[in-house]
Amino acid sequence: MSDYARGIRMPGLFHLLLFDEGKNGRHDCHLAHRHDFFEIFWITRGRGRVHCDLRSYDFHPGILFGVSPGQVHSWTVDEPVEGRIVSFSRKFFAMDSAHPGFLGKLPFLCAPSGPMVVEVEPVEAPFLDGLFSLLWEAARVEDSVRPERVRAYLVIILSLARQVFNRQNRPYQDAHDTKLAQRFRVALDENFPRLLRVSDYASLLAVSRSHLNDNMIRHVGRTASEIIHERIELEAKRLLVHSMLTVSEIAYQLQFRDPSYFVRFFKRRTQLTPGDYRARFALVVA
Amino acid sequence: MRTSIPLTEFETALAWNCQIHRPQKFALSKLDDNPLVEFGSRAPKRFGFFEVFWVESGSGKVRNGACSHTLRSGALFFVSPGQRYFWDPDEFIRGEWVGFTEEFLAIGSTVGPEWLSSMSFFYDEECALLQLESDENSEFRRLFSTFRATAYTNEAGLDDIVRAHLTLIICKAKQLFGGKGEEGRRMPPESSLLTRFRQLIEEHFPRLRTAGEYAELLGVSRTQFCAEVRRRCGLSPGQLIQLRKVLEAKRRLLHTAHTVSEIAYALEFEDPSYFVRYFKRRTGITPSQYRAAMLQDEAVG
Repeated sequence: MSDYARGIRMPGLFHLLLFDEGKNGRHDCHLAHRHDFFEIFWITRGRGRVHCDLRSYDFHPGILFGVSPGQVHSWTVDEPVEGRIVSFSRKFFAMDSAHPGFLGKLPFLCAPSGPMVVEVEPVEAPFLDGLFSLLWEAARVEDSVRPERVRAYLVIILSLARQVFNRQNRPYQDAHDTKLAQRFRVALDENFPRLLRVSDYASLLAVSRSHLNDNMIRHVGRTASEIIHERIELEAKRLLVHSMLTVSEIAYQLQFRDPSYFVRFFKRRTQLTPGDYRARFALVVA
Repeated sequence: MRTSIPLTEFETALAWNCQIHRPQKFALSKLDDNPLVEFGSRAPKRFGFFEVFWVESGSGKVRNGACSHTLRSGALFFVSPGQRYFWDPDEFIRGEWVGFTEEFLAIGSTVGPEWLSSMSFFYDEECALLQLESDENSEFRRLFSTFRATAYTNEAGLDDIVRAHLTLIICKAKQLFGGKGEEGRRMPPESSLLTRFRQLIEEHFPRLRTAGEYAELLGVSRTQFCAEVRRRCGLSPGQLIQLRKVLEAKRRLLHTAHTVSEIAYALEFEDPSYFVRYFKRRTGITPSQYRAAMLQDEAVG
């Protein structure tokens, strides 16, 4: 019962919780929120929709979805939901921009533009569910190799999810992903919106500006500055829909010197002004 | 002379039929048809990689170095690179065998070389055998069946899955060795010279680089030290120190954005070009070639 109330945790590293939404509403998930750790949800019962960065996905038993640091998410429940929630920090996997490591390879956790939902086949779901039980068992034993053991079970679960994801999402297949692309993504997560110039990231990653650009064009299909602009657009949308900040405040937060330039930037990319976007989307989400 | 048993490298050893293997990385094979435990195979064997035997059922003896262990159903046996061993089964032995290179486990994952070096059951011949209770044996049955089920694929992510299973096997062994179970289960308080030497390398390399310096720290004579290390793992202390240095260079090439020269200086080479030659002589490729190949492999694998 104590697992149920508080979960199993090692502060700063991981936190495991049983998920029982609709009975006592412990996980306050109707309100949009974001945090600075990764979270994965494994659904074993019930139905609903998860809203993540302005897109919505249905969930039902056999769905695993990932939320990366900074993503705004919330959900609605149609039938009482059961499952498991695993949160873990970047530190737990020693992730940084020099070495994205294991997490950098997971498209459903680390590619902000792609879908973050993995739909596990009914025949494979019990196997994955078994691994989650083993993860819980592994986390309960408090000995000197506890973090290594918990990490190992998480690696197995997430790698299997990665394989399922790659089979189902050919366009997002990570075979062409390069280490530099992964490092750039992590560096952007860490330094956005403080650093917004390609040259800032090139020097941070210790490569030349043109090498970074060529590599992104070849492997991601977009220039480095386009990737940064996408990120600005995404953050602007998040703030417009989920915060009470004014358009000017958002512009300053995203390092625009002049709010009117922000409005032009936003309109050029989305065909809508920030105000229109907020009016239209706030309705859908509310 | 006993030390002249040739050291078989990974690829040669894989001439036998392992259903699941990746060159220079790992292999998993059933013990039933594994020539390592053939009946009457009296010739000691010695390989350049780590090995774990899980004897699910069967009984017999296994000899490593000067020790002879008697085992019955439910046992784990650990071998580190260069150790000599041979099996002398009484009954047909069933179970699993897994072999892996130090580089595979200690470079690509979140556990490092110092973690592997701290697992003394790999290095101390006296405590290389762990006899399991029946519930513990069931736990390893479950672990190996998950291992097989998830490793039987060529998809991206296989390396991570295998490393995770190796970590789980080692964690479980460490937990059982350290547990307060039956008599003789605990790790001996005073570990062997080789284990202490490996721990000292972790603490003092690359600053200390000669066998003499380590012999002094261990409080034994240099000659005695070299003979003992060579007897146990077939390599001289100097070679072990060099291997550790190359491993560290590989780790930094893969995990950091440091230049080759920066890595050379960090590992206390006075001249980067000497470091490049040193690295190439031992691995066959230059540091930059290694970095390029591994980055591609890691992003995909």
